[in-house]
Amino acid sequence: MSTNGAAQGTRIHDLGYRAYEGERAGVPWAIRSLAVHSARRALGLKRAGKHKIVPAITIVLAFLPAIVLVGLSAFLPDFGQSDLISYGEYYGLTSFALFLFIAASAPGVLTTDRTTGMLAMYLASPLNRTTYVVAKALGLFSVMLLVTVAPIVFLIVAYTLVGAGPGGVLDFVDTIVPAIAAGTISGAFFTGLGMFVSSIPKRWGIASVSIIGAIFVPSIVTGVLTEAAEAADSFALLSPVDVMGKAWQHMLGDTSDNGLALDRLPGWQVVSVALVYATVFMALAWWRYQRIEVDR
Amino acid sequence: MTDQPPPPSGPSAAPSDPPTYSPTPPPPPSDAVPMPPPPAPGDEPVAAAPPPQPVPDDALVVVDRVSKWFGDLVAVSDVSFSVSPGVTALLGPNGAGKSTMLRMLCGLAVPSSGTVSIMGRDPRKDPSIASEIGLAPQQESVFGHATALQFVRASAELQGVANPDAEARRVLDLVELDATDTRRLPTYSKGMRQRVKLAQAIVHEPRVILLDEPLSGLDPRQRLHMVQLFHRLGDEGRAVIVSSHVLEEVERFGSNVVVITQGRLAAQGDFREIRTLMDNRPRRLRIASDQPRALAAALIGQPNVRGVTFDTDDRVVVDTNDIGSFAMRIAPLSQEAAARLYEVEPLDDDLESVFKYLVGR
Amino acid sequence: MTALQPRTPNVSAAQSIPSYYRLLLRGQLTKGRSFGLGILGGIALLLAIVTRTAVEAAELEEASVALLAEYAVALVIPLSTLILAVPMIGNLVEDRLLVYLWLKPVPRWHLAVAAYAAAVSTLVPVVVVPLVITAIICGFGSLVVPTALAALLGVIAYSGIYVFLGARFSAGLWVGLLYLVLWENVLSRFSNGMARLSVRSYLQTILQRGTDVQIELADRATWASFVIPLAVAAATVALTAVTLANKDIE
Repeated sequence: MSTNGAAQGTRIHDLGYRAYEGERAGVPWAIRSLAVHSARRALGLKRAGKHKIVPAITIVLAFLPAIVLVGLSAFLPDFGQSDLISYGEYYGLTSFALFLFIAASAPGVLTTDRTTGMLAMYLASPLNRTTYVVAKALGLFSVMLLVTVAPIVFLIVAYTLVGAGPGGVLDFVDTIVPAIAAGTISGAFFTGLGMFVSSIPKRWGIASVSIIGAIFVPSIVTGVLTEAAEAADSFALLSPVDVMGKAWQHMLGDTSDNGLALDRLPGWQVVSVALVYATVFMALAWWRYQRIEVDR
Repeated sequence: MTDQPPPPSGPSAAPSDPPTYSPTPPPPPSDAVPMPPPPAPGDEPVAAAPPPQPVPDDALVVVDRVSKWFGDLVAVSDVSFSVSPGVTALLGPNGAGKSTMLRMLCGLAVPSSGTVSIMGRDPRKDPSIASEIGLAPQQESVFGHATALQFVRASAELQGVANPDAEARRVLDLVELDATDTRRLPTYSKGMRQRVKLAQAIVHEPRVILLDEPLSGLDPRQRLHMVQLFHRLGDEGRAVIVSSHVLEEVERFGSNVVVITQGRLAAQGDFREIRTLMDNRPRRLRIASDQPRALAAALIGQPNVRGVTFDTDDRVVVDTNDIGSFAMRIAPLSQEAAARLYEVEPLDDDLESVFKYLVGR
Repeated sequence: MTALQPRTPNVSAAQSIPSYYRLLLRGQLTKGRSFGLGILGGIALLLAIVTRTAVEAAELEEASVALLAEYAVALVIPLSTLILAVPMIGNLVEDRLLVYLWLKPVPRWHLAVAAYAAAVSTLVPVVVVPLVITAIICGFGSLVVPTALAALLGVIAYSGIYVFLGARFSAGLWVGLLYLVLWENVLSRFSNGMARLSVRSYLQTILQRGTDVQIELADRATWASFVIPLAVAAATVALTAVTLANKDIE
């Protein structure tokens, strides 16, 4: 109760329970909150130091080739243009870091909710299964951009600063926009792949191994089919990660031909299939979460 | 072997019962540890671990100056106690160190210092003593592809029980589970899993039984049945140690408690006797009378009365710092005040009051 | 001091190990693991068929040896074992179920041996058999027995390593994967000296005995190819027992 005391301004305030009467932010804010939390979790933020090790290593590995090359270019007069790698080749240098990052972060973001019972808590909130998947995808995708977009943008800017990059504003825009697009698509691709594979097992270790398997096994099989067995070049499209790598090269104007099956396929076909893979993986992740039994 | 429920205590006495007070003060228990004198002015108060009690001859579990730390976190600090046959409650708030202590008693965790012995053996160094230990841990997880019978029978086999199948069926029946049920354990409810855990803990008839939150998930009838089972096991000469922070649960097990708070031993023994030792807290009683005001006026003049109030039903609530002399004076005082006494009930003689005091210090 | 004397049960290894084994074996081949192992084995068979039908006769033996040495021995055997053996004790630790098996009046090595036996007995039919069929499909009779021996010894050695990693580390699968990728397949290929410290090299040496096609860094002594994997298995099972004896159990 509040009472007016003898002196003006004197109050006794009721410290009991009070209902919240203010504005409610609704589902969009819930999605945002969960996305931010998921991104933090993927990077090991607000957690013990050991959870930051793998994200830190992979981010450093993603930037390292760019840092080394730019450093060499800036400080060694003999280091010429021909020694620099192209933007298209950068994916090949950093793909291992991408694989490691998604294999480490996606299971941590998804499987722990099922084993700890948090999925049930989230679904008891304004979030439903679809908005839950959207929030998780946004969180994971935002951190994937750190290893897919940020390094290539850094490389382009750094090259420009040392005089090895695009000359002129239009040229710069012509270079950086496709790079951002390629990085964004590969970020979406790996997010979808990581989410779909992590939606299947409950244990994060198995999910991590499964992601590695999903990356390497199709690559080995299609390699044998197209190179050793001389099967049709289109079989190479069955390896999602190889398709994404080649799509990256095409988007960044790298037309190098290493004699592999994917090099012989039209660029538009490879890029389209990469986009299809990214979409299908996300759709499959959504579909899995519609069917998952939430048992606690 | 009888199925006697534990004796009722304090607040659960029926209102129509005669007043429950003792005309003479109870003698202090023979193994009571006197409270240390207050420090003299100017002295720095020193927090010392309570001195170890002499160990009874029939003690099955002896904990001697045990500490456990995890890096900088001290989970258990210099705790000593012993447990004899019967039911003993290991009591403490969440995070007090009860589960850590229970794990050390089984040998699952190694004390950072001090010793634990079960029937004279170190449970960590001597795996054979596991035949005398039965543990029902707190976690709900179960083996995914076993039925209750398969799980309990495997436990019996690993304990060297002579007829593992027959014994497994017997204990499953004892905990009111169907041994012929072919459903896998993950399909069991929380209460059923709890009973399976109990069954595997007692199938080999151990002398020391450790139960971590054993009544969690059970319905009232099952709780009563389990408490009766624990008492029966205690009466058979086994040391049944029940860890809990649910005071209502603990009061059913009996009155013998070991209280741990913030990793330290706060008190041990019969909780009513612990209450008696709490000299610095006045005892509170509620008196129902036909002349409460007159009675209150008479009481307030007594030197052993610290305060008098009325509750919402106009009963007199009195705080006294000398329960013994108060008990001797209440009858003549009420006579002088021409007040009839209907009920004299101790309000803080229960475990909750004792617990609040011990953990709140 | 107590007047009561504890019982001293006599639970022999012949009683406890089968009990542990039965409890651990149940439910090992979950749908997910069966699918994963099936994929790995199925791909081996597929690659063998493709190799046999598409590769020219002059290059067939080389292609078959590459398939068996690199895909089967270097990838399928250790990866399949990783998937099944690490969770054998690792899942018990993660799910806090180890207490039910540990708090028993038996030496810890009984549990270590039972977990190891459960891993090996599950893996032999799902790994060795498909790889033997793969070798048969390739069409070189001299490679069949070496493939069977290499697969069997590989399962024996890697099961010990991975059961230990599952008991020792909470992230046993990650540690096992790093061991497989970084050590067995990258670092140990740098030199002969480092290859001596990888199980893969000994298994590939057994394969080498069945063919004239040179397998890189597969020139260990024949006796060592058999003894070392068995010694690795024995040592890692012993390490598992020591880990279980010294571990704080949740």
